[in-house]
Amino acid sequence: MRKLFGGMVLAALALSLPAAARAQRRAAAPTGGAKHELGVDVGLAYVSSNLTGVSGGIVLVTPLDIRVGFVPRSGKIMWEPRLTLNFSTVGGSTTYLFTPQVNLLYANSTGGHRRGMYFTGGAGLVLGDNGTTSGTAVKLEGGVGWRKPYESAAWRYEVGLQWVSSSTPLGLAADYIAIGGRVGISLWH
Amino acid sequence: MRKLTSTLVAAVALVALPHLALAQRARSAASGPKNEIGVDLGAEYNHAGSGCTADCGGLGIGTPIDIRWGFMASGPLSFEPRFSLSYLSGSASPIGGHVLSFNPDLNVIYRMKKSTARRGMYLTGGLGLGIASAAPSGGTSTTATQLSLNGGVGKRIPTESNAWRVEGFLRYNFANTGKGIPSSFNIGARVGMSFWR
Repeated sequence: MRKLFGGMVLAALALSLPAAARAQRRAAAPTGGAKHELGVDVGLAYVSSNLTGVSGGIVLVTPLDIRVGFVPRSGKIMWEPRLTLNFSTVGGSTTYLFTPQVNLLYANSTGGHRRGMYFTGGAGLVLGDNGTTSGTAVKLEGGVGWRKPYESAAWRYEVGLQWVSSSTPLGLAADYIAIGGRVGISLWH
Repeated sequence: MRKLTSTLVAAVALVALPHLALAQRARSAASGPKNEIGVDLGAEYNHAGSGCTADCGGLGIGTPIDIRWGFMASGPLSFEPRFSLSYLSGSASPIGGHVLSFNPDLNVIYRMKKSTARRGMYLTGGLGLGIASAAPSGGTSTTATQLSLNGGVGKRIPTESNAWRVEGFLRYNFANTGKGIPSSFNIGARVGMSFWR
């Protein structure tokens, strides 16, 4: 029951934060500045599974997810939803893996949300169905990153730690700790 | 041997064409953006052809499906490499050893008469490879490559400094009988956003 409530609270948080971010965005629009930071990355991580008899391993993926950051008019805090979806009915069985999450970015430099160092922390869900069973896990992560301007865009580097709660039906997609980084490009509009 | 040669030719083309695109880019770099970068949400109907004995059709939806990195050109033709990569090893791999999936693709984009590089309709066609490698824990590695051809029609719809991009496509994946991979085709659409830099 506690796990269910925890999951519901996180889901509510994940749903409400983009709305709050949009509210910030409306205020930011008249300035003529960028409203969104969109980006994709290549991610590399060492994953240590808590499943019995399963050893650690490396994961290398691109595109890792889609980042849509809501750029505030002022302030050091920015909300950034991240998302992946993989849904398939090929072969007669329905499988999916859906991982919505929301990160908070705290700009730790004078460059604001365009350049320099930032700290980030986030929470999300891992929702999956392997065709026979389905499960949900909670994901928490934190890290530190840098934006390096590249013409009108910016390279973005981030290293961090991620924890995913246990969920037997999700198998290897849950119950692990990962340490790694992501490198990608950010574009504004 | 013919299969090996055609795969080699395809690989060489995939490696060489971005350089041609870069050469075009150098000429057009004097003004305007150099690259169109984008990601999409894709939905497709997949149907396996030869060699498929069970349930051979199905729907797939995913995001992000790949990364598009287009090289802008002054003429109506431009090149757009697309790629996705996934490498899982150890505990992250479902079979213990490793699972690698690498899908490079090179598309040519031809913009229609009244269109520009930033708006309007375009036609596209491309060549891609699906490279998969897997090894169970302590076992030997098996690698398979599948060649694919795709074609489609799309439209860029400007929104502020960027553009929405909608594309309908058809892809044919050639069989790799040596590795037991049947031929298949996909028909679907991808919707995403393009940015210029």
